Amino acid sequence: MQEPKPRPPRRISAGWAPYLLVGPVSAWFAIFFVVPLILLVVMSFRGYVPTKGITDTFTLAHYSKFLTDAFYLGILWRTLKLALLVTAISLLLGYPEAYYLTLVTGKRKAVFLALILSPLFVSAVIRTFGWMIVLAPHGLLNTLLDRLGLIDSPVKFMYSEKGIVIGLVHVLMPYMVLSIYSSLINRNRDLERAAQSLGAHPVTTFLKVTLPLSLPGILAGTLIVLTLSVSAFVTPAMLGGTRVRVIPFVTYEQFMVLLNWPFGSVAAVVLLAIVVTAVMLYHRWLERGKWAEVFR
Amino acid sequence: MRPSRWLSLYHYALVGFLIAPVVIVVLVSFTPKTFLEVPLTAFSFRWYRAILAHPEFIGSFFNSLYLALTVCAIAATLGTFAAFALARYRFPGRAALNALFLSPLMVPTVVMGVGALQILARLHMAGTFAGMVMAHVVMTVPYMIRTMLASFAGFDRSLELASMSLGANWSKTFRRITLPLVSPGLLAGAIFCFIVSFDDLTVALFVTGPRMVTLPIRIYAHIEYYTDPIVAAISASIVGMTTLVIIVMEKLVGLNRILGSR
Repeated sequence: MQEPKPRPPRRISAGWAPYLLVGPVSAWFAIFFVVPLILLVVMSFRGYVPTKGITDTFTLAHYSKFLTDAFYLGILWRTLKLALLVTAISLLLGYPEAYYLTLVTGKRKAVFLALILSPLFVSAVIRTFGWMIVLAPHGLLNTLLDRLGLIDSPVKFMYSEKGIVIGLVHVLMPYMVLSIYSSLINRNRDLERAAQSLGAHPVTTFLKVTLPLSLPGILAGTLIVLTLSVSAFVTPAMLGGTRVRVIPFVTYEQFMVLLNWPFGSVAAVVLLAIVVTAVMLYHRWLERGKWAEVFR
Repeated sequence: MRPSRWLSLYHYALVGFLIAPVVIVVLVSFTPKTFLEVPLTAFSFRWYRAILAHPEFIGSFFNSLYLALTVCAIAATLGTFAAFALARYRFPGRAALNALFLSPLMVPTVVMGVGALQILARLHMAGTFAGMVMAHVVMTVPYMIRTMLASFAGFDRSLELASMSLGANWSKTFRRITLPLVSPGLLAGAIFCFIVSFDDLTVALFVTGPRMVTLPIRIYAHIEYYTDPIVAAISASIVGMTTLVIIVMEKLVGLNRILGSR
């Protein structure tokens, strides 16, 4: 029996192969991602007359309105303030948990990780609906606080900034915990032991050894949580609505309720600008700042 | 080193906080009352039976299911091709394309929604199933590419070379060696795509139409006007199905492998 001749591997010329493979996605992204973003920027300069709708004129009026009107500046400030608050709280609450997860092992760790990640597997609408029940004027949280004798009258959690912060900290916590956890899990624990054996107080050991080792995780986690809380829509829409507006809600309202697409586009462009600026500042800081060597 | 007692206590409190809203929704779904209350004395399935009297919720569920499955299939195919090219070849424009394909992860979802509305309105596809698929694929492909890039990167290429040197051709090698090795990544990516598409409210709100109402939109619209526990029963059913899928995944592949590749 004749042995089959090894055929040379059939290949498309390597020069073209990668372009053929990325071609379909590139086309899809061009039509449904790049072009829409261009249309969005163009739309933000279009004119708008309430009786006639969108006009084919060029105007900066929407930008100057958004960036000078006290009402919209207030919303811009609130959006940033809430995002910073959510980031700070997530960091403070998430750090001990990330540290804890590095101390447990085996099956327990797998279960705990799954529980920590569970908010991400639950639909935003369902999760926020749960918070609506908990945070209602006579809901579970107010009942609990009342029973404990901590409050005299119900606290207004629903349709207030408090409720939005609680809802956002809840859903963004997994990102913070995971980021810090992944930078802590591979740390060299001999360094901590060395500090302790040389007589360092546990607090000193933490501040001088553990904390610096986890900086990459802290920075990555705060960036993710900051950008996601600035962009969050479902949580502020359901827990704040028209009573506590943030920029993503204004974008939705202008487009879908008031049908003022040009002004809604301005809100969207401002939102995008905030996120892109935050990401760029972080990267610049990481590359040039004194943390640069941490990331080698 | 073992965690101190205070740290353990803190850990359980935080886990309690993280699972609280879902646990509450599931408990409320068993109330016999007509308002949202955690039942303490009597339990009832009346709100589960009530779902059957609301075919619009069931219709929306299937809309969301077909949508997520279609999006998954397209995103998995496109994403695997692209990730393969990005991981295996060095070509001009590679870094730029890599950044482009991952950038939707950074763009706020309302901006994605506004963009989808504008392009679909021009193509006369707003409010259609196909239109929503188009919008969701852009949102989900980055997850697919990210997990598949990790899979192709942690891959022993000598296995492929061995297969080819033993006479298997390119396509057989791909089917018998490459694909099975990256399948955990493929599964993980597909799960993320499914969750993102099935749960999406934000983008869907911009491109929805009377004939294309997904489950999140149906629930959101219902909550705006009514506060009866039927939404709790629907939510609890979804949570139950999700838990079931996760348990099956855990048994089949192991959650660690899936979560690890994210």
